[in-house]
Amino acid sequence: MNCNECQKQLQQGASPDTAISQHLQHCAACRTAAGNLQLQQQLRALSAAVPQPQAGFHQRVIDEALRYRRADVRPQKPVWQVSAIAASVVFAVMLMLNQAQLPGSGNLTAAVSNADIRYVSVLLSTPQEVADATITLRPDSHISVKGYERQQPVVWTTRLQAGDNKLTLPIEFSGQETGSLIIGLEYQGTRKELRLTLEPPESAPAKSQAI
Amino acid sequence: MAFLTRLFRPSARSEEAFSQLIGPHISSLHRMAWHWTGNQQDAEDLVQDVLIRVVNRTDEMAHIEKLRPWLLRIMYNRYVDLFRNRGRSPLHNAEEFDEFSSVTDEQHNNPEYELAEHQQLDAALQQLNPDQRDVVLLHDVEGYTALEVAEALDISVGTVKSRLHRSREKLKEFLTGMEPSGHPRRVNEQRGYL
Repeated sequence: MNCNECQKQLQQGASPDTAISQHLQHCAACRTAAGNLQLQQQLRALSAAVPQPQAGFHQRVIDEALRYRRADVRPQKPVWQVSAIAASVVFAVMLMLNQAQLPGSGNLTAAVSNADIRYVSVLLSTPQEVADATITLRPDSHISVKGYERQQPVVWTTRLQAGDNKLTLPIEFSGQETGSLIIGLEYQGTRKELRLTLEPPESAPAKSQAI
Repeated sequence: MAFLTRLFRPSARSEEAFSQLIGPHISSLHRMAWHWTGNQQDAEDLVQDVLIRVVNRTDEMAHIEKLRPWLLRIMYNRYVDLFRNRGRSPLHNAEEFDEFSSVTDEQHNNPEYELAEHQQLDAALQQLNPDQRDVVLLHDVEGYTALEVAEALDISVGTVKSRLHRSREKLKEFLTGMEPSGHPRRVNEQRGYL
């Protein structure tokens, strides 16, 4: 089997048979091509995971744009900054490790891939929408948020929708030490913090933590 | 005075033209907005913002040969202005995860594995710098051509290809270090109230 034939079959979705496997064993170029193809297939699958917009979204955004046009209104600020937001907000956080299931959310699970990584799901519940909530993550020296190792603390601003907002964090343990994660939430001058004790994978006993 | 107001009011034909021009691109705009903002509400607001900004340019739009990258470029600039400085939020609301989960349930035999794989891909994408990530999201995730990506981001096709190459190598390197097991583990639960 030559390279053209091998890459053509891989692109057509052929499962790696003996001939392809043998070719890949001694052909670095085709191994790279196969790796790229696999990566592209994985990335393309992310597209299918994009949630659909709310019902009637297409017509609604067109109608709203036309309404602006008729009124000759030139937006100076993003549209969503115009809406008023109620001031009193109550936050609740529920934290689950690994395979914990969210109440009323079906089979939401997070598998753990790496022995040093534990997926932690945090549920931020608010009765009303919060436009600009600042979330701060402060992991101690035993853990880090995978992908944000260089950021300490990890801070970002986001919108919290009314109801449950799920935040899934890949927590990486540097060793077998118990880690501590402080989750902070700030909104219009109100600050709230929750400190969580996180056991490394494999050694974590079932434990409840009252805050 | 009322006559003048009516005279300068956009015609129904013009509004219909706007709807016909923009309609086919709303889904793709929304998808990229979601990738960039990571948040359903922000994604919808960003698309709305773009439409409001182009609604008075219907005549210009009618003469643009490739409308999709043109619109995308406007949205990208708005995204940079409004969101990038805030940083991408890794927050997904529970409703989005429900939809996300239903997709994997239908399409794959092992949804837990797929969910973990998608989370890892997302984490891997966060390893890229914003310029690299934009190219990968547009080309590899959403299927835009290299030429469309170049037009949307105002860079050369050569730059698109070189960024793609470097990004893929970086992603592969990152992903080889974390393969999802797909095996369920013991449940531990902690609850707390802020």
